[in-house]
Amino acid sequence: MSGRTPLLVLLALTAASVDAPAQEPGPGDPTTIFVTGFSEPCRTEFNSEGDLFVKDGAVIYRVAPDGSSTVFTEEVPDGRGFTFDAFDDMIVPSPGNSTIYKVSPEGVVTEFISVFNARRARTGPDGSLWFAAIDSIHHYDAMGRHLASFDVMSQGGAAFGLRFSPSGELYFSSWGGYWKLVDGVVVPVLTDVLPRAGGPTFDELGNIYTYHESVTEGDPHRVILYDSAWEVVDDAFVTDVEPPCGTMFGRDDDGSTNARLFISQRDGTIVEANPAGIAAPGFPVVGLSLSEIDEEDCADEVVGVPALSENESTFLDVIGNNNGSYDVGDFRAYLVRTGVVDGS
Amino acid sequence: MLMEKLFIGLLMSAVSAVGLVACGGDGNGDLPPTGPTAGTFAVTLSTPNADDGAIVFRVNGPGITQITNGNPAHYMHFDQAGSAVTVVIVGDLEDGTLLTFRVPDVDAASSYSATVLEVADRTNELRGSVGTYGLSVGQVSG
Repeated sequence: MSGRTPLLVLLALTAASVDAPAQEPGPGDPTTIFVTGFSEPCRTEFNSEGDLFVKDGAVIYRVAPDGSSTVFTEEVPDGRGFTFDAFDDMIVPSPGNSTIYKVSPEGVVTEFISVFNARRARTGPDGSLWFAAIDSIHHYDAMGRHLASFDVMSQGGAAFGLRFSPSGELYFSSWGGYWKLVDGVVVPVLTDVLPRAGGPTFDELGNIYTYHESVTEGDPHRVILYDSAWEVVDDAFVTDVEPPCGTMFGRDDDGSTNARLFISQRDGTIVEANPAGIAAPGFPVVGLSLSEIDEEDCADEVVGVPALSENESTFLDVIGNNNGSYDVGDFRAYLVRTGVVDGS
Repeated sequence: MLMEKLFIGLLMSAVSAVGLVACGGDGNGDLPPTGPTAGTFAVTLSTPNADDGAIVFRVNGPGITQITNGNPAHYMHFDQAGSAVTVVIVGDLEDGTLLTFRVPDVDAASSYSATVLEVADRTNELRGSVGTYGLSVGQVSG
């Protein structure tokens, strides 16, 4: 595959999808409507309180568990695939002005960093931030300091979607394939998929859910289930869908990811797959959260009792003095950030 | 035979005398002070800086108990492993008492020591050197 092929494939497939024929129900059928009334609710994420956020047009809405929605912000121009970071702030890429915006839980919008043409943000297992920018993937630490950039297009990939697997591997996708980034090297995963593929979404067992929006007669819209080795388990896991444009697992009000699989549709509706068919809860899309790091663990670690994971230590150093190892300065920064100690 | 009785008599007298001494000596039942005296020691900081925000230090010594934060405005956490206690204190640190602890014998003051391991300033930066910091361990008066 030439370096430009994925983008060309993508551009060739932007025509409207077709009406797809009905097919035999899959394990995730029937679907039920969770929320409707949007135009194209394709960019969505749950926050740590279990509310769903939906970018639709120029507005980002907040949808409560009962399906009621309110405007969260209208102040992010050209917002794209957003994520929540380790501080529960929303991180929204805006390719229109190559700016990454940060939106506080209260809805206050600030310019965070500049990343050229970023379309999708994702929080990594160590709280660092990753941005997909079609021809490249960019890596920043949790405070917005640039760490690395990777040219993926020259290696045959194209980066629109970004997801971490339970094993910590970073997968990315376009409508024409799936790849993973391993030490800066693009590794093809599935590049012979039907056009308009999306995802992937992982459950905690490593099972993979992708969606396929039909663009040819006789080819149904559906959600496809793969095992952790990317072998097809069910090519028609969910068929009771209108043109799909996103999949995600829900989160409960304590922030934990549950076993409810939601599917965004281009008809303005978000539906839920039949929960009886879902094998396991989703793998968390926000890899690390400050509020979930235990104060006792932080204190033990600084007095020499190992208690923190490597990702937690790395993150705490980043938000502390960023000197490469966890120390008493990082512990002080944690206490100030969490309000235990007055840092003024 | 007479000599044997005399020896036994002297021996019994000696045993009685030893018994009286062992039982209190003066015959009034009051015991004289014997053995170690428990008490409270304090770890006191001497810092060359005016903007310290956190410190980790280790106290060594036998039988340390009742470790108490010396300043309620400070955050304190410690780990005790045998005769070593590693402590972190976070707050606006100044010269003065960091913590107190109980010891079983105040006369064994020389058995106790404290060593600074890490210090950070109030912007969370780690001090490059802690050689100019002083920690002293001494009995709390009164």
